[in-house]
Amino acid sequence: MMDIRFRRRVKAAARRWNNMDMRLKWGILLVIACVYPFLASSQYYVHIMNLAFIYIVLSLGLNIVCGLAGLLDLGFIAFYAVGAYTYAILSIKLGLSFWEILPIACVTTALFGLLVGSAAFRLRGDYFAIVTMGYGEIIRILANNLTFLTNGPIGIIGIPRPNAFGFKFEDPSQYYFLALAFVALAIFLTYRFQASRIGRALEAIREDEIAAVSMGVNLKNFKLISFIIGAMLGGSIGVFFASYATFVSPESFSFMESVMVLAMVVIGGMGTIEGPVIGALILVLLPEALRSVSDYRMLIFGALMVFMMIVMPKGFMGWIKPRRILRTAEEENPLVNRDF
Amino acid sequence: MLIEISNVTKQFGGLIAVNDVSMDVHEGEIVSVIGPNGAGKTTLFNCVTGVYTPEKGKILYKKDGVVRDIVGVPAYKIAYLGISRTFQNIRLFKNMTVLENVLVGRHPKLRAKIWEILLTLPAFVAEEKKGVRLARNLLEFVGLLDREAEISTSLPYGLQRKLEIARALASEPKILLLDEPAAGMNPSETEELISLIKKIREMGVTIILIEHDMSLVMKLSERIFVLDFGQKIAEGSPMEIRNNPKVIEAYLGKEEAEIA
Repeated sequence: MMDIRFRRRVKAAARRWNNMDMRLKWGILLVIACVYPFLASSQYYVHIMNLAFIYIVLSLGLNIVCGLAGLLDLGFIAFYAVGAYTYAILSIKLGLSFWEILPIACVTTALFGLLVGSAAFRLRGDYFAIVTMGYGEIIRILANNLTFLTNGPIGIIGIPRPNAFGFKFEDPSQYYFLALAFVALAIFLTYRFQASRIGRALEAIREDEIAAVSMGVNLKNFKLISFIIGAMLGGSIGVFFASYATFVSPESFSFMESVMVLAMVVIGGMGTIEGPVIGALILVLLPEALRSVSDYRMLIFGALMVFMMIVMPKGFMGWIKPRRILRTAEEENPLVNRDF
Repeated sequence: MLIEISNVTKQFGGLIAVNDVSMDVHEGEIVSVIGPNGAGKTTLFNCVTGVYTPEKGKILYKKDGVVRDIVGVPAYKIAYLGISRTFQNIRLFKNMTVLENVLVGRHPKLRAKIWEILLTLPAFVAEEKKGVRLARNLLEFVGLLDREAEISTSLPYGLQRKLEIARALASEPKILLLDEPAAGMNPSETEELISLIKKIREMGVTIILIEHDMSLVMKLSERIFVLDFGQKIAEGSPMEIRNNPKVIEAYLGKEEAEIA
């Protein structure tokens, strides 16, 4: 068990962090992030951080669907796949540039989100989750079998790298700031949405659909909005991924990837903004840190998951919130759940 | 006439929850709907708010001088029309703060478009500021201003009911439907509630009330409608209802009524 004094110190520090001004907080993180590639001893460390950034954007996207609107999406990686394949196909077959494809990919993933969402939202709860799992798999299987378009299981190789003002992105440290821009944009978007009528409507849907409807929230529209915003975040970072890896294959978009992203959101703390960021950092950096004991990596990983579920069932951000609020929020009012 | 419910029937399979009920409410009135448990009061509310669609009957609602039938209008649009409600079993948004709850209630009045929100355009900021100011006014009105940052379910029961009222008022409704607002309140809290409801009426809001607490009903309502087994058995002023033999029978049972 964790030393109680250590735990208290972590919580106190976290609380101080929590109470800090938002701009100052993210400013500090941005400065750290900007300095990082110059301090990193090798390109490998920068590369790992780039991967972490990709997953941060993915989990922020899923956080809008899962954390804000409370919809369990088990096929989120499909949007990532659509974005990545859009870039791969359009850049090779039509020769479009990164900056041209980025908005196109946003539109295609948004349309895809709309299509899937309008079908899936006929169902609720667990059944909805099963449907999302289904479309996640459908996209992977499509990528496997539409050989003329996606080159099947072999994947698409030699995807061109992006250019900006004559500058060509080549090695990880050059990509680093592009990835950082994606992360910053995703965090900014989440902040904007959360403190607007849209974010509040989504949270209202998560907490109580009937009450939300009575407050004038159109359930279907707002669920679709959450899906589309999430999809666009996932799709745009998919474009980045394809241009960064210069290779896409269906393997990268397996069900396990969806589960990983979901785990990042849950471990970090659903519905918060720091949560998915922390979760993604933990789940990307930890396996790398444990490379030296790679035989036991999954064991340690599993133990961590169990530990998190026992000690911090509401995720890391849920854990460091003031106790009082958490306990009272958890106290189920028996009258609230009764149907009217 | 602000709202006129005429011959509304709502069935659940073989059970007729609301049977051919008619009632009318004038602007600025406080009207109560009473009746024993299972009489169909909440079902009637749910028909008015679009949660259920009645099989038969019309619900005519006058807005800006235009009368329209609101049967079949989806529930979320009802809020836009200016009909707001609270819930019998308190349905606050649990993991949201007190202020956020009221802001959600403000939803029908907010118009900011997605791009305005994303780019933080002045229209969005102004609307948001106005919303927060109004929400704080409402919280002050119900006496919750100092607790705006708390998680809604951490409030004691009576205050949760008041928060629900503040949330329902945030959309600046014409009609406020209160479903058992005094349930679970102690006598002093009920007194506060009575004066609160009176103040809400002075704001120009018409109030329809479901309540079991007869002292509150008798003190507040101008007219009372009595439901029993889905049917309207009486309507009239508090005085008339108090002495109505059918009402006494419905509440106390037939034999006791005869003995009495």
